[in-house]
Amino acid sequence: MEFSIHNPPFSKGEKRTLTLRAERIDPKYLTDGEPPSVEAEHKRTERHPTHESRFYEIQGLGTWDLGPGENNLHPTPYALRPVFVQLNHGHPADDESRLASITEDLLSVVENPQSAIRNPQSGGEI
Amino acid sequence: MSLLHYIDNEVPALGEWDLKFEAGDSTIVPVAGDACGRGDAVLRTTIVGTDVAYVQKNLNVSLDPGGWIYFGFWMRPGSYPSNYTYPLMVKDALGSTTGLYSLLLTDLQIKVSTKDDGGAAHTAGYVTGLVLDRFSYLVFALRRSSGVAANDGVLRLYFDGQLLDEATGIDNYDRFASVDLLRMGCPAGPRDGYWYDFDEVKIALDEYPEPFTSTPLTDYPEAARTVVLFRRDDSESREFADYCVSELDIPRANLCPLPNATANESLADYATFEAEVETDLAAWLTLNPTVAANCSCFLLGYGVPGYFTSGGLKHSATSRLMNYGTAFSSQTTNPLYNPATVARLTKAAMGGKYLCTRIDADTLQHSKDVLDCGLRIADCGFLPATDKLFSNDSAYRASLACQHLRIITAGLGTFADDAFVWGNTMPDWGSAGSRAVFVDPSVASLGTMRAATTECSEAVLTALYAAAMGSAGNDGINVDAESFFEMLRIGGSLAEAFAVAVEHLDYLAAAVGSPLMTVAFSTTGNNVYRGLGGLEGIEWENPIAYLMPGPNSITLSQNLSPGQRYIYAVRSVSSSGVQERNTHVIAYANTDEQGILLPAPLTRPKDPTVEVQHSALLIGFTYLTPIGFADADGFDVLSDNGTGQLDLENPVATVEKSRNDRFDFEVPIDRPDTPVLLAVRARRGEQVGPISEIVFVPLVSAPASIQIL
Repeated sequence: MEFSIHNPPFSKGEKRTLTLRAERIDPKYLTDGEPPSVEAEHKRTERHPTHESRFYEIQGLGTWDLGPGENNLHPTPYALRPVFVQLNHGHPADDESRLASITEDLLSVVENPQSAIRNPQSGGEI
Repeated sequence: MSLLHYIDNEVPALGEWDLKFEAGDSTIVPVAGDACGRGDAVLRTTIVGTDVAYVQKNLNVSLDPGGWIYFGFWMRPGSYPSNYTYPLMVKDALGSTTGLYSLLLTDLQIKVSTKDDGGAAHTAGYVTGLVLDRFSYLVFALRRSSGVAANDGVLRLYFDGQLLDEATGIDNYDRFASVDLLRMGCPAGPRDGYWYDFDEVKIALDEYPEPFTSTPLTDYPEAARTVVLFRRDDSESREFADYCVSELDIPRANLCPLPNATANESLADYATFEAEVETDLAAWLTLNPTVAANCSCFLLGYGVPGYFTSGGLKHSATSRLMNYGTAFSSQTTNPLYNPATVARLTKAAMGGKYLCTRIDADTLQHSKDVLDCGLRIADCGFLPATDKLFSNDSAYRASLACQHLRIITAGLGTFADDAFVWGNTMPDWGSAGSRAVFVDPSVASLGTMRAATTECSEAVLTALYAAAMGSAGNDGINVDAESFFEMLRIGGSLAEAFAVAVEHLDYLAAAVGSPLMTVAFSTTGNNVYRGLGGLEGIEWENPIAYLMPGPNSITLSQNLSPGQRYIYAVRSVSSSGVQERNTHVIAYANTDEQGILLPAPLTRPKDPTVEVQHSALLIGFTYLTPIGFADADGFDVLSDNGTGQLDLENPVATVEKSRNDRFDFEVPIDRPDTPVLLAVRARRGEQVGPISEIVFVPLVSAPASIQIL
């Protein structure tokens, strides 16, 4: 469940530093126990007959190198990459918390799902 | 079923999703793609580098203990991922996105995995895999354990409407108290260059979400009512099924994979056929109740078994599936056979029976050719006027029903300009006509479709007939030509025509061809009608003969009652099948008391006049030949010679009718000395017509000479 902290909606072009919770972030991304500084910028808002879309760019995130196909979903930051997020529906006042939530997901400790996969040939673990 | 969400991706700007996440240059965008459901937009995920891209749907749904949640969607891989990638992840009550997720391996094998409350993994996998650039319908199902210690959670993977694998005994009571959100696209495991499409996402509680399928446009057999059976794990059989989607507009949701069907054309017994075909078909229909409710027609595709042996006879799979849903019983009477009035077959009218044809051949390409031939026949408009129907059934060829086809008929022999062949024959091919349907009911005339070694398979594979019907085994089949052709004539499909033409189900009649093929017989020509008395006695709904355009005469054998007057009328029919309301051609037939046909009657001369001249009387009259009456050769002028009784035997004058465009006549006779009665009658050979009105001529004197005063 995404947590909800009501902040004022982003104004057009506004940049805002997201508040990330250290306990939800993989320690490898923490610096002196502090989450990385991640900034969200409101890019534009589109109004459609069915919904409103609000577009943001999140800066300050590293992407990851998955390695040579091993059981590795843990991101290894190697470059700063922008992330583009489109939020539909909901109240604009919730956007900051929604953006923070998905950023935390991106940086969270990821269970290694591949450990669950049976080798289709042997029936054992990959 | 509780359908929580149906996301068809047709709402602009991803309005059905709550969030789109694109890192770096990876994208997830709507694109125009194959229509698997409503509209034609699909979501395409394209990975650049190692950046993820996904869309998210907030669910926030609680699962009851023992409750199920289903995630169904169409998926089409566009490339092979370089390593494992994750098309779908669900966030569970423990906040984990690995509680339920799917995994696509490098060879496109799809797997779904879940973790239990203790973090142990459970997986259901499909080892055969998806197919590049082909949509498959996947459903991931998860059951929450019914109690804290029940350990009866279940994970299932369905592939194209069939359960592929499952993991049971899962302790997931806590983890799946709720499902908070769904992410699709590539929420994890991004692989550079990998892309795929997905569409028609259905999220449901407690019931399998069947894929969208088109609503039939009519009650009659059509693409949306046709289910194509193919061998799931055979690439060519699958390709043919896909060909049916592209060429016949069969909804992709109507393709039924048969995971257990072998490549054998003929199976050892019915039990084997049941195990290879019917059991999987039944399971598939159960998971696709909308398709099952709509389906009235099966098409056995390329490489699917077409025969099985029972009681020492090779039985036809198409004949068996026409009786699908009923226990197999060899030589069951077909309730649709030879109806009193041939009418299009609705699902209701079929009373639980099905239509079924088969398209198989020695090669995949030849199977596609058969389908193409069916489309060619359906698309060619009216059959060419030179096309012929060959049959040795002379009674049928002379029948009214056959006349109604307005096609040239001939006995069996060398087939030149052949559109249809019907009968026990050894094919002797001449110049090709449209070559629509070849029917040979003799023994083993369609014992295989995978070699041109039987009459019917030769007709299809060598002579390129679009369809054929014959006997699978060592006995002939009873077929009714009139029902067959009448169904085609009224616009019925090939499968409907086969259905009303075969006497038995669960038997030997094998039907080959595109089930939806139609044949357009010429409608233009003339219809002949008969009635008693006058026009009011004609039943215009029931012509007694049909003429092709061109001939202006027809020979009819008629039973006429004695002492009756019959009227015959002809009306023309346009190429669009519209019959004229006027009646330009009428003839009468009269019978005497012995039933002997009488000649057409003469009518009565009109408007007789007499002009007195100096020494003569000038008789004038008019004679018109109404429709239904005979023309006169000449006319007799009759007189009573002053006796008061017309002398019918000795005309006082005659007039010859020398021209047919002459209607008014005059003839002088000597002026009598006494008052006389005069009349006229028409004559044709020995036949004389009714007498005209009688004119009384008083005794008159010639006027005196003029005197000049």
